[in-house]
Amino acid sequence: MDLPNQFWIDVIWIVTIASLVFVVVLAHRNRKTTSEPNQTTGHVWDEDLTEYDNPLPVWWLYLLYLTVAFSFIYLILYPGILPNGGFLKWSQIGQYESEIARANERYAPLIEAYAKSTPTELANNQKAMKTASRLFAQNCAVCHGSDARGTPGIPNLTDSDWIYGDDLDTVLASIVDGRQGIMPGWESFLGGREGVEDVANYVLQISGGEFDAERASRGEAQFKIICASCHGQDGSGVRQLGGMDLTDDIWVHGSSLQEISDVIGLGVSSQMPAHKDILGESKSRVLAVYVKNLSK
Amino acid sequence: MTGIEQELYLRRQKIYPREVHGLFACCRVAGVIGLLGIYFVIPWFSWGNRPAVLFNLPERKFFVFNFVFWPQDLYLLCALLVIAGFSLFFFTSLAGRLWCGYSCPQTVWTEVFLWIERKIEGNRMRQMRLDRASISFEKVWKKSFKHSLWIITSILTAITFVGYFTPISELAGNLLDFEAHPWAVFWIAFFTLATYVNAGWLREQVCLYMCPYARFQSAMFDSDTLIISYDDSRGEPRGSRSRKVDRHEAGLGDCINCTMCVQVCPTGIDIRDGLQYECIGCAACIDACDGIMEKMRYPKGLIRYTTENELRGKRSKIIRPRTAIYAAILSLTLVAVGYAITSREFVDVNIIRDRNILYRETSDNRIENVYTLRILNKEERDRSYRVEVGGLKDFDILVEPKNIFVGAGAVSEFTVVLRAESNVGGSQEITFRVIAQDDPDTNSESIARFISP
Repeated sequence: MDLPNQFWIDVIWIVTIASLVFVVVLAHRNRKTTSEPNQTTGHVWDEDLTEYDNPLPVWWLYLLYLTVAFSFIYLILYPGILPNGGFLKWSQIGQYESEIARANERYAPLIEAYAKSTPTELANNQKAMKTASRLFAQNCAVCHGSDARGTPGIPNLTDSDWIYGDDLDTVLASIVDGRQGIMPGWESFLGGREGVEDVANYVLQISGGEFDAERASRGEAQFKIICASCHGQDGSGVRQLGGMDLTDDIWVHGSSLQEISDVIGLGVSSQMPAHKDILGESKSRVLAVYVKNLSK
Repeated sequence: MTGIEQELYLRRQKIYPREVHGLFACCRVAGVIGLLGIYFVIPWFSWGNRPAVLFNLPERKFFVFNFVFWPQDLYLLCALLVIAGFSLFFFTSLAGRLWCGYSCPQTVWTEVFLWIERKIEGNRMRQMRLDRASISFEKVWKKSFKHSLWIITSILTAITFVGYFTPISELAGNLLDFEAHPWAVFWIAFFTLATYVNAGWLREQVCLYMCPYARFQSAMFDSDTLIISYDDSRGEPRGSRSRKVDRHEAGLGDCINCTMCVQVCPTGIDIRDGLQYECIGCAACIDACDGIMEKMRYPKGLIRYTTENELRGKRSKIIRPRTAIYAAILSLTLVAVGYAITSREFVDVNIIRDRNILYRETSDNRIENVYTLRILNKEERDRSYRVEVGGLKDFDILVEPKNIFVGAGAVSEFTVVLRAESNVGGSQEITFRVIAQDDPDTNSESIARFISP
């Protein structure tokens, strides 16, 4: 609770109870009147309409007592008089947690059944794939897009190019533990933008783009020295390190000379968050099968 | 101000309405039996493999015979309320409180409870005597038997009511096995209590102190509205007399002051005091008075359905601006709702654009937009659909779901990616039309935007 301190909490409930008691005492002591019977209220509408000041039905008074009794019960059960959430120990976060626990309990058998299935069984289980598509929409689509085709800087999951490898365990590991992709910036090492663009031209050459042959040959030497350790001698990538394949026509960070040079010169760091706390192993596995199936 | 002290609150005096026979009592009994029959029977009807009428709140679907209403059809409920409202206004301006007297649940269930009370405790006199009597074996068994029957009636009412929201055959089975859902049990208990208290104990108090209609119905009355009224000019001066006395010679009116009209009144008023808001228009006093008039060999109708104008000797008009306007609005809404219900679309599509990127630029300068189509199949059969996109030149559907299949009464989502051949410039309105594969008439269109740099 974010109220300033216990003093104000006490003030509030004491004032509340005092006014409830006051209302009851007031109503109880004023059950009788000394005015004459069959009086009108004194108001006149539409020239001659008046209203009798007749007695109210007594059960209305009982209704008032009932609402006051309800208030007392409510004040005791819920955060009110008693400290720490009242008799029921109610709190917003507690209600949220109990709802989550209920949902987990409800879906546990389903998820367990998925955990016992083989990847092929899962892929052929329409229900499992429907579950996965919902998980994808809730957890992945925000970055990878609801068509899973990625956005600038975030990989497309529907192509056949896998940065860390295409086996299920690797995909699963990416989801569960996340990935930290780091491409260092080489501008100072390469002696400024000129050197960077030389390497970019070479990268364009091996990926089948338009390039300047002279600059590319200068870039090739540098590539073999600094890039090959992660991207491989031929530029086809080193999966274990997350070094991307530079020989295909698939670009995460853009395919123009300008964009490639920016990545080489300034570097780029990207992160896939870990989902083991959010999804857990079983759901992640269903999702991994689903994601692998997208790639066709 | 004099100093006499009096209660500010009034204790309820129990009203013992005398049993009444006659034309209008027959009408009411017919109404009660008919309405209760409908109420108790409808939940048991099946339609295909579901209950014919079921308001499924957890699934947010209302089944009414061959119609299935979705939350998207909620506006129809508003229209229904408009119809209910204007029917009430129309009939009130035409014939007063018909609703209160013959068809209000408060009247219907009170009538049933009164009937049970009479069967066990006897007529009005016996009931009053029993209540005054000190405690005895007879009093205890009669009272407990009466309350048991009231409670049984209330329980049946409550189970039926809950049966409109959860399939009643299942509910009844679960109740017999003590396996009903706690919420079902709660609501059954709630409506049992409500029925028992309303029809057994509160009765006219509901009409006098709770019902808003009782308070505003007079706004719909005019001098041509049918009301139940005592004919002052014929009845007065009232007074008891022997049947042999010629009332004209004795200077008496037709009213013999037998107070029958007061004894039969369920709200405990004297109709001879004129029109009162307490009068629920049940016409019990008409039946009672007609019976007496017959015995006295006087013409019937000293108390009758009449209008203020008629009582003043003028002609009363049924068609007048008030009734005509109500009737016009009522029939207009009826036609509109009828049309809306029959021409509802059985498929609904919502377009959700991806929120993370407005558009994707490909390396060859083409523009991609990503959409999620959320398709609702409102029919009770599975459907496959196809999608048509309109409003964009030179484009292709890059990603198109292979099989847009939506199960009966289900909602499914499909991703569609549109790719324009060139930069269309800014934002452009496009349409998605979802069409059932084997029934082109079942289709729905939705507007979206294609965004490019």
